[in-house]
Amino acid sequence: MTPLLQATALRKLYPVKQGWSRAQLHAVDDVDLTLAPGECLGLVGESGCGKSTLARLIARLIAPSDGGIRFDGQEIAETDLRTFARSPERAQIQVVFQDPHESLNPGFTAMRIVSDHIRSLIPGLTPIQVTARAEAAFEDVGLPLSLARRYPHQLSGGQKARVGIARAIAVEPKLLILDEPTSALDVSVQAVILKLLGVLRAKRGISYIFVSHDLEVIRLICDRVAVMYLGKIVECAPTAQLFAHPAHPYTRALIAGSPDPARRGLKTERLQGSATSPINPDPNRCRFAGRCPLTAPECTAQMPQLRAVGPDQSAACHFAQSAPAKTES
Amino acid sequence: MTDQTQSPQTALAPATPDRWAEFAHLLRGNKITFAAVLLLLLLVLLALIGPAIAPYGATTTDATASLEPPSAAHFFGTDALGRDVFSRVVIATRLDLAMAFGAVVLSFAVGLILGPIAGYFGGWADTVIGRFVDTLMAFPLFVLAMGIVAALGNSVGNIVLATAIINLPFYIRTARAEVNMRRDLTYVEAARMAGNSPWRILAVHIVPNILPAMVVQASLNLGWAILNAAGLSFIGLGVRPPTPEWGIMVSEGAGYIFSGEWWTFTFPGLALVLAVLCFNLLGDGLRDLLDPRSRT
Repeated sequence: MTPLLQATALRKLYPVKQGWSRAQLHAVDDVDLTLAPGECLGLVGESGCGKSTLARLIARLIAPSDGGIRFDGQEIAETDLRTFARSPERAQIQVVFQDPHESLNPGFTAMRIVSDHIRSLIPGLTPIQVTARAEAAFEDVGLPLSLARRYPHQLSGGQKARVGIARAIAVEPKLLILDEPTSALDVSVQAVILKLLGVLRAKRGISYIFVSHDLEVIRLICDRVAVMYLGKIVECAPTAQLFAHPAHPYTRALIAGSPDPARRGLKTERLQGSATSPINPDPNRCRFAGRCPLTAPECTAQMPQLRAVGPDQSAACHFAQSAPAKTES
Repeated sequence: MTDQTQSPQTALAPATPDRWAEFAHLLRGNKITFAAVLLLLLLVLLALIGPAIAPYGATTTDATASLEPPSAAHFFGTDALGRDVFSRVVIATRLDLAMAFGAVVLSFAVGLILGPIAGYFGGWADTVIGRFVDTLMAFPLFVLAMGIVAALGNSVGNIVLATAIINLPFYIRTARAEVNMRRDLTYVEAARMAGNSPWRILAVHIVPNILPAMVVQASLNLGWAILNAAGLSFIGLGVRPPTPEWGIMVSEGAGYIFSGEWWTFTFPGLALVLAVLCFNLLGDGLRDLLDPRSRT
């Protein structure tokens, strides 16, 4: 099956000043990513690992420093952002932003937020068609139309999140990028929104890229997970495989770090030290070296590349073991 | 559970907000703003019909009745030339308010263009506008106004211009800061994602949201503008003497402070105080009214 999205060697560098010299912050470094139609890919990693930057690159909200993005058979990374924003592909990739409180214009009603978006992205609709589409989107996200005339501050957190989702799906995208859509919500509301996202995906066949730092959320909703560390993808595997047999030591640490009632009372392994700086990192050194419990001489001599360690599973570690045979599990 | 969407019947949605009912409601809840609005209405009324209700002409002299204390014939007394102070104070309202409003509208408009440009685009636009503001701020503002009027000539138009220029930095800075704060919010990013041009984003998505802050600034600034215009007249750089204007009247009356004819300067001074007070109190009330979060 041809992938819906294929990112190759995607890179985003930010110039920074370090004293007198100029340096570069490697926010996203040489990332390859594929996404099948209808698939939900999770993107996890700690704060500052570049997952939001990667999401924004793919969403074409920021321009990559290098690399290509092929979407639906078309190369889109080379178009400049302003031109892309006016192209028909713009409606195909939509974003649900992190904080529902600041992602809605406080001076617009919910209806205007959604219909303005439709009007800008799908030219040639009559006002009646725009309203009809917006109303359909409200219905899809389970917002009563009576709330459509309200301003964002008159809506609850969950309702605001629904408006944000309605805005994104109203233009019928093929790819929805969800940048921590639930992290600002109460846990109970989170569950409702996640369920809604699941329903929408089943109903419309939209592909998701789901950015989160919450492994449990990822486990719940994603088919496949990519783990990021300091701008690089260190492991990529189907969700069940990743949680059952993590191949990269960082993934293991992440999983060990999320609370699990089954491991109650057991001592969790904690990572020592802190992440190395993303500014001008040594290209011949594993980004995780120094913090990794397995650090060996080759880790500081050669950067491990992402390589297959099993069917569908790849990891960027010199010591990544191939997954145990299926019979074992 | 904060998410109400499961129970549609809870959504007794408000009808299209009736702004006047809302306005009345807000005023009922805020007595001070209410008083300020009444005072403003009085001032505007005086400005409109002042010359018609003034018992005497603004420049009608009466040598037999000079420097008379307040009486039934002359509520605020008369000045050295026998002109009725009450009539002059009332008639001056139009000129003083017009100069203040003119100056504020001018700096508000220019500030609302330059400030958002500096705040949104940053870079060299911000540098150029920022240095321009710094240059203005480097002068003692009243001295700058004096200089402008002295250079351009003594006319009402130039007083308005000078007042507008010295107040411009406050508008630009407020607008710049408010826009800068919102530039990277995700709702602006969503608008950018929808293919809106930077100008449309500014005009439709950002500037309407900074208006509350700007209007509060303008209202507070109206008091300042009146004081500035009156101040220029007071030192002889403004409106020319026979014209009734509060600043000149205080200036002319100031000579009588020690001889005891207090009414000559007190009443125009009081008019100034009331006008400034009115606009300052109004500023707070307007913020409540214009903040979208207070819309119900």
